[in-house]
Amino acid sequence: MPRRIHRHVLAVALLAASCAAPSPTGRLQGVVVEDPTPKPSFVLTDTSGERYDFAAETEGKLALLFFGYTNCPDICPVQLSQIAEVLRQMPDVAARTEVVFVGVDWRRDTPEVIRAYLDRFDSRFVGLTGTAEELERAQVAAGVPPAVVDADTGVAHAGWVIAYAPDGMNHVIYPFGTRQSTLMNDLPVLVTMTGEDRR
Amino acid sequence: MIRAVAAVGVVLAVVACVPDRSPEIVSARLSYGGGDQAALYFVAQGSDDRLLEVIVGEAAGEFHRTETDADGRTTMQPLTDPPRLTTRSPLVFEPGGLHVMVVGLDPATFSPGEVVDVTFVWERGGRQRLRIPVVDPSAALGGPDG
Repeated sequence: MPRRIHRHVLAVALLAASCAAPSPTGRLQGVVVEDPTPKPSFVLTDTSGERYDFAAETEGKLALLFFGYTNCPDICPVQLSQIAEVLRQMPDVAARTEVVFVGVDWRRDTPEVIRAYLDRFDSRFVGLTGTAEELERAQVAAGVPPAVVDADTGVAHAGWVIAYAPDGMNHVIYPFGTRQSTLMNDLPVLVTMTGEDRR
Repeated sequence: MIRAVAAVGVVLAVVACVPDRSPEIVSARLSYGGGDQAALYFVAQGSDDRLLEVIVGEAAGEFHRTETDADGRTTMQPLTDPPRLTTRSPLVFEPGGLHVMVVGLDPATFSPGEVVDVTFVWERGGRQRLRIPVVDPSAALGGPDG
């Protein structure tokens, strides 16, 4: 198993074991990535049918990247609606944030299906799709285990949200089960991480 | 979210038809974000029984468990046997774990903040009909902050 994925799994377990009450500390409360990794470079197709260069389109913004599928009743709607609810309460942060959902079920997640699905949460959310090969490349680039799409066993996918700050680095991830209060604390912090202080 | 959480507290008191031997449903919510599918979460306790079927409105639910593999991928697996509870061990359906996947819902009849008829069919306790709140998925985790 790649070392980075090992870290993610460990981090999920650690978060699940943590019961610390969140508070507006100004420090990140999600699962902090020890060695932040740069934003991946991949190009997929958006719900308008246009090519979408993830790194270029989200440059200078907070990008929240999630690989899911539209026929998912448990994990995906909770993750997406939590983000939508938090951004509704923080319009200034929302204006500097791009939420990007990649539909990994290439059999069913067409641009039209993804658009209709995302509009249930927030019509500003970006939806991406591609061929099976393109989707796998995007997931590998983002450091998540590629989804397994199987006619018999369904879809297995990474359930965490990856946050890339405006400085282009992944400082934190949000496993399933992350509370809105954690996002409320973290997103305003992340949008200010432009990297200017390190120059 | 506040509206949805309030609905959870209010609607569970509305019990329509509960046989004496049925397990007690101590919390329940239908997470619905639109479309034709939803996830039902609940906790049942206080009896030795097996849950044979759940019907939401007119739609039959499927018992699924969300599992995580060694690489961190999550997937839904259908249960092969009816879920069981005992007097000592409650039956917990929760986000990221056991859940009832409901497909074939009519979007015109579902909306967060409303309630829906749900029928639990128990092996020993028979049919148990409850009115259960429909919540936005942002409130599916329960508690004050979703």
